[in-house]
Amino acid sequence: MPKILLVEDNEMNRDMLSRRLTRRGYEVVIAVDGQQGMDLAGSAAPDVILMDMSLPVIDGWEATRRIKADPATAPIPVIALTAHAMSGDREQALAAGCDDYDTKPIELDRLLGKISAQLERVGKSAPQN
Amino acid sequence: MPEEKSPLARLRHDLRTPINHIMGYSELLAEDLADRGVTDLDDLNRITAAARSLLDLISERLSDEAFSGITLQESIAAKDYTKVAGSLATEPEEFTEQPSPFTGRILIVDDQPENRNVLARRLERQGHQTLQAENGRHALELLASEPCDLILLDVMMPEMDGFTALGRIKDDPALRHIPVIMISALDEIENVVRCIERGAEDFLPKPFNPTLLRARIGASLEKKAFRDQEHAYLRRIEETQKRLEEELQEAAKYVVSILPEPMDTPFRIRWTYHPSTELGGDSFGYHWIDDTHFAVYLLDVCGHGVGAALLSVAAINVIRSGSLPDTDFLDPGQVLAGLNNTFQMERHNNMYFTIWYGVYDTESRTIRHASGGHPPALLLKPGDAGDQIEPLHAPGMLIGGMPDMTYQSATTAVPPGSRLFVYCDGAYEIRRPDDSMLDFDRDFLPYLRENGRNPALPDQVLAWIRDVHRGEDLDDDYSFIAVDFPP
Repeated sequence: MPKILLVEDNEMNRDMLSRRLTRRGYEVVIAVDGQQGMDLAGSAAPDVILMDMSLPVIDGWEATRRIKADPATAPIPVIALTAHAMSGDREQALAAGCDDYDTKPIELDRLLGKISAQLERVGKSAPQN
Repeated sequence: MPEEKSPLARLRHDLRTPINHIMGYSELLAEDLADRGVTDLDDLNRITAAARSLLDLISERLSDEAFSGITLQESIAAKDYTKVAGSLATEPEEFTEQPSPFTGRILIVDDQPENRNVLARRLERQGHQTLQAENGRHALELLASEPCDLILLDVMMPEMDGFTALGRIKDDPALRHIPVIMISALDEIENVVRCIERGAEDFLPKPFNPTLLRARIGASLEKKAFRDQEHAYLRRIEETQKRLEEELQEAAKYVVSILPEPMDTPFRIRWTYHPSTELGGDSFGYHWIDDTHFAVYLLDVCGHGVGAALLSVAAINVIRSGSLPDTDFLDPGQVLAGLNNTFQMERHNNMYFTIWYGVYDTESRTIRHASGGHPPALLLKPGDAGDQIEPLHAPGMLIGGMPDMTYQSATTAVPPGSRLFVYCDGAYEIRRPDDSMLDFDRDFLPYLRENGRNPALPDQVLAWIRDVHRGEDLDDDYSFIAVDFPP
């Protein structure tokens, strides 16, 4: 079962997205801020990281940069989640080292497509359902 | 590079987050329901769609481009949201209502002040004026003093509900013409049906769909505008008709006023005149031409109504005033020839008339007479074997048909105690209920011979022909003159 690390500070977003991903056959590990996200990226060995970019303590941009700077976690695909498609967000996210990018509100099918693309890229496969 | 968290971006984020929750949970709920086989998710879909348009609105209205003003950025930073709210109050272009082609004064009756305000703002943007009332009672109080073109009436309200208020409005003659559109939640549809049966024009479901709101209000006001216009036309027609009737009565009074008074010496003259409509085409008169000559005449213009009356009055005035060129009014033939040339029908609205004109000479006790297409006057003469009746024939063409006609005068002796009857064809051309006509020789003459001495003969003949006709309303004008010559 592919494991997703969801880094998200908003409790409702976490609850909602994790439940929906679980329904689709993913194991979901939760981090509530950037620091915890970096920690769990190392310890929980997720297959994909969904990174909310506006996080307290250490924000998503910084956390991504550090994950990508650490050789142990660098290969893990990071999909940035930003609040809205503001122009330049995508470039910024890719520049920060994100592998892909999606916007809220989440369109689940679109996000699932991006997750499985990243999984395939690193030689893994999305759950069948 | 971390995202610049401008105050505006934070505001956007804070507003968007709960909406994203609504959308996310709605979708989650939809998935759960789908697992249980529930597929009718209209309400959920509506919620999702509404949330999505809210998100669009936030992105658009709170974009950095829309807020280039630094002051506003600062007031957001200072958490002074009144200015922000002020700028949000103006809706962007595509939400601006187009003015409605039919605008009016609309009374909004709803117990929820927010509902009233939202509706009022929207309607005012469409160019309407609005009034507000918080329940049925308040609405009725307002309607007593405020004119109003349309009422939007909530069904469920405290104190007096919409159904009761609707009943009062529709029972009030001063208010019942105002269209009422019921406002109701969809689950109150049975109440709505009752309201429409009670006279409501339409209903609008809550929450309001702006397009539907606009369309129904527009349609109602349009219908009311047409109805109002129709009423105005009707009032104008009624006023015109009233004025025409008054004028007709005035004219009728005038026609009667030029008829001579009954007279007692030296002859006793009685007459009865009864036009079939307000204005008849008959008129008549008698007057002294000189000390020894007395003229009696009666004319009957074809048809009746204003045109006939005008010609009739014009002709009678010419005779009365003796104003025909080169005409001896003692000679009936000359008078008729003069009238014929003066009143040619192509110059008189294609109308012609018939006339009997006679001049009684007191010295010779004779009557000289002529007729222009008119039924003969009748002379009732006392005789040894009772009264004899003599038609005073003098054939001649009707007046106005052809120019330069000649008219023959005839002279008839008038024995003392004779009675002269001058009348129009309306006195004997009477249709019976079985469609047969009264006959001049077989019915009319015998009747006059029989009843000719009745002092009130003109009235009696009218009563008789009404009886024959079996109705008060005769088809033609009735005129009848009876002249008693002294014994």
